[in-house]
Amino acid sequence: MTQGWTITTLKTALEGAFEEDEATLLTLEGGDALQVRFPDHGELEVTVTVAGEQLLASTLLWPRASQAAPANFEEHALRIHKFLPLSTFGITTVDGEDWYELFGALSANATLEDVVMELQLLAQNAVDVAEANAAA
Amino acid sequence: MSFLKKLFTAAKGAVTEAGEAAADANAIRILDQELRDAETANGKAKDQLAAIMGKKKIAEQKLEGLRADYDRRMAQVRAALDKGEEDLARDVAKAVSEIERQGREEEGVIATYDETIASLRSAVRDNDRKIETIRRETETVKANEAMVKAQAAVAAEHAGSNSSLGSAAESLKRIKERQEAQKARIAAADELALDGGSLDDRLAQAGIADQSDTSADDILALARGGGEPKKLGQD
Repeated sequence: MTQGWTITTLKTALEGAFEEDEATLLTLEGGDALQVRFPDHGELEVTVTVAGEQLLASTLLWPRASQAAPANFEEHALRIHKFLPLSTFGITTVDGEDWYELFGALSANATLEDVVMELQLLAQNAVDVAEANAAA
Repeated sequence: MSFLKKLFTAAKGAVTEAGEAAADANAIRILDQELRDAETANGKAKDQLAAIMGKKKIAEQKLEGLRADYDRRMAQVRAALDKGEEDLARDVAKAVSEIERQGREEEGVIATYDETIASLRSAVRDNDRKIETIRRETETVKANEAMVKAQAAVAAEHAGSNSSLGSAAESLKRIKERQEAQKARIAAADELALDGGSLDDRLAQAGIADQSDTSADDILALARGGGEPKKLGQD
């Protein structure tokens, strides 16, 4: 890939790369984003966008409003996120509501293997983080 | 001011209630302005560069002319000396001296132009890098915008269809529910395997009481008989 992924080429490539039943792929309205749903991770959804040289993959964790002592959690997230392979914590606003998100940014020229690994790790990390936070 | 500094300033100044992404709303506007500034600066620097290079060319041509004059006049000095025309030779030599002075002056002017050209070229390179950075930052912001739009669309779809969001917290809930359901299924399967009940249940049904169970009546009987009830954990 020299000119980088587009949502269309990425969807086709991922359809061949994932094992059957591992993930379902859906192009979102407008064709600017791809939704990857992981049945084995409780139907977790990862959204993928491509713009210029960047490929972004993001999954929502939980609403910031539902977090007890958000400032503590956010400091904690900043301290631990280097121990989460390839994934980064963020706060994003969806329809006026703040959500914690876990995301990964890749080069639009990343290999298919890199993208698949990013998506699998993101899904695994997101559920692990939700479980650890629920237990805390 | 750099893009990041502007973002931090924007976030600090704005009311960030409900995480109103002040940064995102301003980012494209800030970047567009920066891009215009950098492009304008580059246009000016390139115009200046062209003008200075034109002037340098003229100065070089003038220097070339002076060098030709020098050679010509020096030949004349030698010719005059050869003919014993000392006074004439001296007058021409004075002219040569003046040509030399002008030549040094012109060399100085050219050196100054070279310095200006070097610094303008460096400014153009800086601006080219800046334009490249802004372009990349714009793409990053646009990638994020596309992401926010897509997530909002997904959220709206979930709200419309009454299904819960594919967030990590919701997914964890579903995983737990699935695990519970699976546990229940396994337990039910175990019971079925035991043909309708546990071993103790079947023994009780058959009137065969578990010998390890001491009933209240047994204890009372023991107490009335003056004996000690057996101690816990001992037979």
